[in-house]
Amino acid sequence: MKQKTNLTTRLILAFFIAFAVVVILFFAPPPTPRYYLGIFPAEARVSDLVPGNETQLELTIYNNDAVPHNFTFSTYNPQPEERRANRSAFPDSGGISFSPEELEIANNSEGKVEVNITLPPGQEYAGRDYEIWLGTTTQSAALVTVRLYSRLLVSTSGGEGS
Amino acid sequence: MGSTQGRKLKFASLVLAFILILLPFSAASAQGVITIKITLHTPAPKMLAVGLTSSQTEWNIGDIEPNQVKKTAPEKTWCTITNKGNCSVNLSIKGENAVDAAHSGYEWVLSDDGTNGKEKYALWYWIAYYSPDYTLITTSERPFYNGLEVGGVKQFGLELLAPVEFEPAKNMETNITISAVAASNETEN
Repeated sequence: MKQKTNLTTRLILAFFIAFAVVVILFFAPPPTPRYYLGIFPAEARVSDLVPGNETQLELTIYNNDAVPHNFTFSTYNPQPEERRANRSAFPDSGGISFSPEELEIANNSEGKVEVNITLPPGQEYAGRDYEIWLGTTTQSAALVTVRLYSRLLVSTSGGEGS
Repeated sequence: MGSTQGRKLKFASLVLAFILILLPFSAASAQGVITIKITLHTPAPKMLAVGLTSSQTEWNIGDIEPNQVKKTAPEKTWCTITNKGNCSVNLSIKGENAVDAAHSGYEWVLSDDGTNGKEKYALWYWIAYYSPDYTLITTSERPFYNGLEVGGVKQFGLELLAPVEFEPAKNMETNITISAVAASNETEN
């Protein structure tokens, strides 16, 4: 009789241990990132840009790491399936420049970069919706690095600039 | 006579139903005020932020033989990517040729078809609890994972196939870039 009680107690104990393990695994917090890098906004919109004219916008870069990072900037023309619906490839990626071209951001700090956007003149660029990605990455010796893209959505007005 | 009673019954049912419908409104009116609250939600500006956790900041493979296969340890959870922003993200991945930092000009070309060769190596990744098999990493950006939700986490490991033939006594280094962009299914602000 006593042996049976012991067995029942052990079974109950085993059940509770297994239950506790499942609960701990299920609710365990995800691994804390070594660091994270951020870009704001993740999606920038320019409306009514006249072909041939220039406009500017500002990106904020976040460095939530324990060490400073040197950020560089670039553009990327995404594939049609990667773009937002009904948007065409930006006609001239050379019309986009960053100031400064490189930016050192201290640990746990943020920095700002100005983006100059120019579309070629021409009626063929009027009344269109374009998309190009603005990228930033760190100069790092680590095996895995992160590149962040902000979607730049440019819509042009119907008229041609002077 | 029976039909008159039936009509009366139908009329009484309709009146009762009407009273029942009006009852909540009359109760609110009795308290003095009917408040209609309209809440408009404007989308928050999107911020893209991606965190990276790795058990090691480097993958020191050590000495390697021709045709040898090496895997990270832990095999499929070696590196963790976390979406720290406020919008879901699409991730892509690309690799590079491996170079000898001490002897510029010497490199191993990264395979674009999974085969190795003379001074040509191959690299794959496996996303834990997602990938059915190892997926090739090439020098061009390829989709890694689409729609990583806010706060979402993905873990992956790497596999390397050494070249068939290479010069000995070199310290080869390479780099993998994980790119992140707001997911395509995110609505435009």
